[in-house]
Amino acid sequence: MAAVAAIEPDTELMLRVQAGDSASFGLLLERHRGPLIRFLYRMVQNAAVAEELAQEVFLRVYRARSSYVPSAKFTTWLFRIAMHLALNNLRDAKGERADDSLDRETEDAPRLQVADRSPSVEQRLVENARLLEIRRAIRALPDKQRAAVLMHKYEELEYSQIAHVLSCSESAVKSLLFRAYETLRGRLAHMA
Amino acid sequence: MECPIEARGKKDLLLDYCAHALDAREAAEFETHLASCAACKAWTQAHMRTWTLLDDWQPAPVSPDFDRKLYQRIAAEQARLSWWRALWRSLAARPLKPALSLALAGLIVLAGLLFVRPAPPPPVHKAQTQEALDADRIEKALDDVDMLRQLGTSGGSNSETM
Repeated sequence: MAAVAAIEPDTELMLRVQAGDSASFGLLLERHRGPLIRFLYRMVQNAAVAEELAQEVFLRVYRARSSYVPSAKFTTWLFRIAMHLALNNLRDAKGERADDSLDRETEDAPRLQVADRSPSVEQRLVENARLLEIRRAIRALPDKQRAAVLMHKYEELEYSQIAHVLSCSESAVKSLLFRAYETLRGRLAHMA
Repeated sequence: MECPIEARGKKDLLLDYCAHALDAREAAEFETHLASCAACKAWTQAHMRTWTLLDDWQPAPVSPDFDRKLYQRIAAEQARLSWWRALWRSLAARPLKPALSLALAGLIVLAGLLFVRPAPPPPVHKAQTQEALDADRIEKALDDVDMLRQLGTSGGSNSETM
């Protein structure tokens, strides 16, 4: 435990938060806000919900400060909470999503100006369609595969960290990733 | 080098190569294999194309008031907590202490009445019963012996008299 605290700056910061130093919490927030919101956004595919969930994650971290034990990397702990919340959100929203899936898909896309008839509008339409397909392909992955891909591809977490977040072995993570990338490759082959 | 596509448990090498996560020596070794393996070459190229496609998806920027909202929530929670703490402190204050103790004692008595049922009569131990029976039998046997002795004495005198 002491070794983990000595080598991991985040753990050290969290231990300072535990001791009542709120400035250290600010530093943790500064460091992890971006990656966490990005991960949650790509998981739930809704910017407002992602920010709401990220706030909940940091709130839970703050609440747990007094009982914090540095048993794993801070990032792993953070992503574990985030994934748990994201999966709960997806489960709860499953019924609603069937009705408004189209609205949800376009709500975070850049707004197009109708009056703007320049060629860039067409380009942007094509680009939006492309992004929509990528988002759909990722959304269609099973939850665990999707989380694994997002942590591996975008957040560059190590296999051991992903394994800890997903509560499975490293070899299971590798095979999850391999299957997920194969599926994505098949779905996006026409675009590549 | 063993082909990562054919060998079991080696597929992460392909993923790591595409993610540029291999060190220089491992990457060079894999590239040597890649030059002579059509399957690995095709897989890697296709994967790289997918990988690049995925790069296109960038999330929206974080709201500028994200931190403010979070700190507001933390402050609200702390205020709620300190309200509870204040309530507890006022409850635990001196003038209320006897009342609290009485209430607690009352609760314990009530719980006792509700949950503690009268114990069933203790079962009579088989050995004890057996012991009592044996004593009775011995006593009866001794009485019988006495009676026989008396009869024998009186019988003997009877025969003598007869």
